[in-house]
Amino acid sequence: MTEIAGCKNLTKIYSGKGKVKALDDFSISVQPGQIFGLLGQNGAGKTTFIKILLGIISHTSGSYSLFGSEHPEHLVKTRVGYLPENVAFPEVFTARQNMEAFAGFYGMDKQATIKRTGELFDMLGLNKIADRRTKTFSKGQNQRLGLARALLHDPDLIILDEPTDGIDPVGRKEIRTILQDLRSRGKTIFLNSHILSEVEMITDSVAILHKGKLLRTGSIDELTAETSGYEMKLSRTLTMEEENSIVYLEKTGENSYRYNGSDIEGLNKMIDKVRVLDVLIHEIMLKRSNLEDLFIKTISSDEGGKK
Amino acid sequence: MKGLTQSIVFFFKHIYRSKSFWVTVGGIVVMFLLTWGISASVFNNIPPGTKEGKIIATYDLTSINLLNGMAQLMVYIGLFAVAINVNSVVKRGVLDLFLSLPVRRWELLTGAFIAGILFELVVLAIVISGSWLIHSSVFGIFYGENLHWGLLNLLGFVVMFHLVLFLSFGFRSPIAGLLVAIAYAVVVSSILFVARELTMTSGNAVLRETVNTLYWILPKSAEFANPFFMSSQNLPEGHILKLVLSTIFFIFTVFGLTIIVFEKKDH
Repeated sequence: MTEIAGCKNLTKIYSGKGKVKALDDFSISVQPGQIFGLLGQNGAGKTTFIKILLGIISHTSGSYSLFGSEHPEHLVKTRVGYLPENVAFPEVFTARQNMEAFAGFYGMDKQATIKRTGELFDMLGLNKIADRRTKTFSKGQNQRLGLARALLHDPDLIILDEPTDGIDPVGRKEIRTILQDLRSRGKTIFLNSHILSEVEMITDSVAILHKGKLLRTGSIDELTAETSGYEMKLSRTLTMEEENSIVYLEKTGENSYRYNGSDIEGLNKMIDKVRVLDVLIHEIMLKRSNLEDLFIKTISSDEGGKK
Repeated sequence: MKGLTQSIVFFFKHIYRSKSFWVTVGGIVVMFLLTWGISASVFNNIPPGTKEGKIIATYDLTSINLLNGMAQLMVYIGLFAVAINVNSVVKRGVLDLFLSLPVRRWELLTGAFIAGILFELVVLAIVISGSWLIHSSVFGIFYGENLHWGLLNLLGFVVMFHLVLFLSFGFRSPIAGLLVAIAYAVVVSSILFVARELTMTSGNAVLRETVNTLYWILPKSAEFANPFFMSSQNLPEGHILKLVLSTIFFIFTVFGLTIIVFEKKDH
C-alpha cells in the first residue's frame, strides 16, 4: 500500500547560535486509513517533522513524501488539514468569518462553506460562540475552532499537533469520537501528542521520538506486548540454580516471579519447567504494560544508554 | 494566480474588519474638517476687492499645500493601520495556519502587500478628492489639474513605504526593515534629490529633464518631509537640512512600522 506520508533518514539542524539537531536520521511511514501517533517529550522534534512535511520549514538532509510525492507541490496541501500547536486565529474575525476567510483558499464556494461550517460547529459545540471574535476565545475554544478549520475542506490527511491541549475531559472524549469516526470514513490521522493515555485509546500505530531520534515504531499491541509479562506466586522460593535454569524468569519478591514474555507457548514451557521442580503455582496473572510504561522505559533506556 | 487573488481578498477583508479601519475612517473625517477650516480661513482673509487672478493664485497655492499635507498625514495613518494588521497575522499559531495553506509563500506575501497598497490608495483617493472638493467649493473654483497632481504624487510614497515594510516582513525582522529603509533613503532617494538640485539650473536640457523625470517617477523619501520640516525652499542650506531631516524621519518611520509588525511576537 502506498504510504500517505513518510520520511527516510530525515535530518533537520537548526543553524544559528548553538546548532540544534531537531531530527536525526528519522524514518517513519504513515499508511492510509490509520491513526498514527508520534510521541515524544517537549522538544523531541515532533512539530519540526510536521512543519517539514507541510513545507513550512526546510530539512537539512534525507527525504520526505506526502501523498507519494517526494517534492510535494503547494496544491497537495488541499488534501491536508492541519491543526498547529497553540493554534491562534486572526483576531479581527469571528469564528464563522475565520472559517469563511480560510475556505476561499481551498476553492470552496459560499454555499458549501456555510453548510460545512454549520456541520462542524454543531459537531464541535461552537454554535454559541460562532459570531464572537476569536480574540475573546479561551484556549479550549481556540482548539475546537482549530479542529473545525482543519476539517473544513474534508481533507484526506488530518495532521493534529497536540489537539486536546486545553480541552476538558468531556471535550477530549468528543474529539476522540470524532477522530474514530474520521478513521472509519477512510481518513488518515497523524497525531502529535504527549498525552499517552489518549493516544493509546485511538491510535493504530505509534512512533517514539526522543531528541530527534526514532526509538521505537509499530502497532500499540506489538510494542506493549514486548514489555508485557506474567506474574506468578509460587509455593516456595527457587534456588539460584533453579532460577537460572528457566529463561526469562526474574525474581520480584518473596516467592514471586515475573516471566518476561507474552507468548502462550513460552509461558506453558516455563510452567512445565517449574512443575518439574516440584513447586506449586499458587497464582499466575498477565501483566499487560501500557503505552506510558513503554514510553518511559524506552526513553529511560535511551538516556541510560547514552550515559 | 488563484492563490494570489485569495491572499489579496483575505488581507483586504482583514483590514476592513479591524479597528484600525475605523481609526482610518476617523482620520479621513478629521482631514476633511481640517481642510474645510483652513480653506475657509484663507478665503475669509482675502481682502474685499482683490483681483480674480490673485484669488486664483491663492486657491492654487493653498490647494497644493493642503492636498499634499492632508494626504501625507493619511499615508501615515493608513500605514500604521496596515502595520498593525500585519502584526496580528504574523503571530505564532496564526502564521503556521497560513503557511500550511495550499498557496505559495510569495503569493501570501504579495497578497498582503497588494491588499495594503489597495487600502492606502482607496483611502488616499478619498482624502485627496474630498479635500479638493471641499477646498474648491469654499473658493468656488474647480481646477482639475491640482487633483490630478495630488493623486499622482502620492502614489509613489505609498508604494515606497509598503515596499520597505513588506521587504522587512519577508525577512521577518525589524532590523532588515531598518536596513532596507536606510539603503533606500540614503542611496536611491538622496542621490535622486541631490541630482535634481544640481541639475535644476543646468543648461543641458536632456540631462535636466531625465533627472527630473526620474525624480518624479521614483518614490522619494526626501520629498515626503516637505510639509513637516522645510516648507522654505529659498535658502540653499534648507535643501541640505531638508534632506538630512527627511532621511532620518523616513528611516525612523519605517523602523517604527516594522517594530509594530514584529513586537512581542515569537516567530
